[in-house]
Amino acid sequence: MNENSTDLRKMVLASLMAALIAVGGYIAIPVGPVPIVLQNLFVLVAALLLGSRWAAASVAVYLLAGACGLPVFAGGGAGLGHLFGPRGGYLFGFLVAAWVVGRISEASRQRPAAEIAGMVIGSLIIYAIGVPWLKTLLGISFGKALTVGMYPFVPGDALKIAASWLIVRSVRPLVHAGMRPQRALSPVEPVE
Amino acid sequence: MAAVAFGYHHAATWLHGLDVRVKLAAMVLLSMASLRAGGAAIVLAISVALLLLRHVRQPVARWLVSLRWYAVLLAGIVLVRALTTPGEPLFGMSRWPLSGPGMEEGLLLAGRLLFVTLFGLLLAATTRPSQIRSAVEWYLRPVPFVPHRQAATMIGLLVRFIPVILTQATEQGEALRARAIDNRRNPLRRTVFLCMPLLRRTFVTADRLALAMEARCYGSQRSTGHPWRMTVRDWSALAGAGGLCLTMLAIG
Repeated sequence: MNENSTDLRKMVLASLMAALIAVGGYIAIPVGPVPIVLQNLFVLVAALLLGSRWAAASVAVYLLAGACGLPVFAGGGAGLGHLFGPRGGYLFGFLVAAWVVGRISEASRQRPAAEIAGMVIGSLIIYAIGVPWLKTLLGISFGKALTVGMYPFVPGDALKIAASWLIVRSVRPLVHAGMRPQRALSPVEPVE
Repeated sequence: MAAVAFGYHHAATWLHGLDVRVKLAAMVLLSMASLRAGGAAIVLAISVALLLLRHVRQPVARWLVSLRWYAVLLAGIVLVRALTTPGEPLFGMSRWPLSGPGMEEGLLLAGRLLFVTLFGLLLAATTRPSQIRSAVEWYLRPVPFVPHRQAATMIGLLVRFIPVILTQATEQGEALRARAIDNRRNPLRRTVFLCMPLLRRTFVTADRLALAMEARCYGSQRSTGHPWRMTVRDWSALAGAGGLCLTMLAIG
């Protein structure tokens, strides 16, 4: 498998992860008062599976598709109004988090402890960008922004980090098997 | 949102035949107009979107039902606004005072998001993914440092993957229900049981697609050659979208 085909495969996988991030906004698992939406779970999974460059590309394509008007944001939202609306900070946070978590994973050579710490940092980055953005656009106090935009989602995020790691551990061999160079076929014996 | 609302639905209407560049430009213009639109303008725009949905022969009621999760999100926005904006309380409630101005602002914000979403669904329903890919490539070509072909191809793939994943997720959900896994209390198990097989299946699909693209010599030097040609109908539609935006800004 040459470099071009590895890039092609990574591009297809990055597109797939962008589609999964979009679908993650449609699927809600009803758990307790706040249902778990799988969007940021797929951002973390993309970062761990694809690395910093392609995970960031995946999220950038997702944001570009939404900005073009395709209904890919949470619940089927679309457009610049969404991107620059109250939830826009979380969307831009996905981009930064994907790159940072991917970078941590690459630098740590996929050590479990470092990857879990990376996902915690990634989740904090999403809130660090999303909550002040929410506060500014809704014109509410920082405490209220934390109450409506962070605290109810923290238990769900802890679950998502645990689930992401389990999923990545299971899916990673499948992804990397396709990236590994194929063993050359034995040359055909010349016909005498 | 269910698979019914997302994806291309073929029909012989003028909106289906419109130049995709015009549709994308109209989307961006409407998105920008929505940021400054008032209540009356939002009602007008939502009415236009619903009329267009009927025109392209889509089941409007089914679409609205499929947007129920989105409605929950919008209701959340209205509630937060109503609870956090100071002003005269509605219904005389003292414990959770919903303010009138807050409710008004929340409804306006939710209306803006809803109308752009309806137009976005209209765009997805009337445009083939390959056309969206070509139009995005056309728009990104002059932007420096952006690999326009790659970005456009990735958007095209994303649009194709979403209905596939939604179908697979629905099948997965039914399989889990048949095995009573949705009755399990442990949310971690429920999430992993849903996501792990879904990811494995979609990765196999992506793998096959990458192999098929490689077999067809896909590369950065391939030809695109979508024949772009603006007709009077396209210019009229662009002018109509511009007119709608100006009307929305004028009536406030």
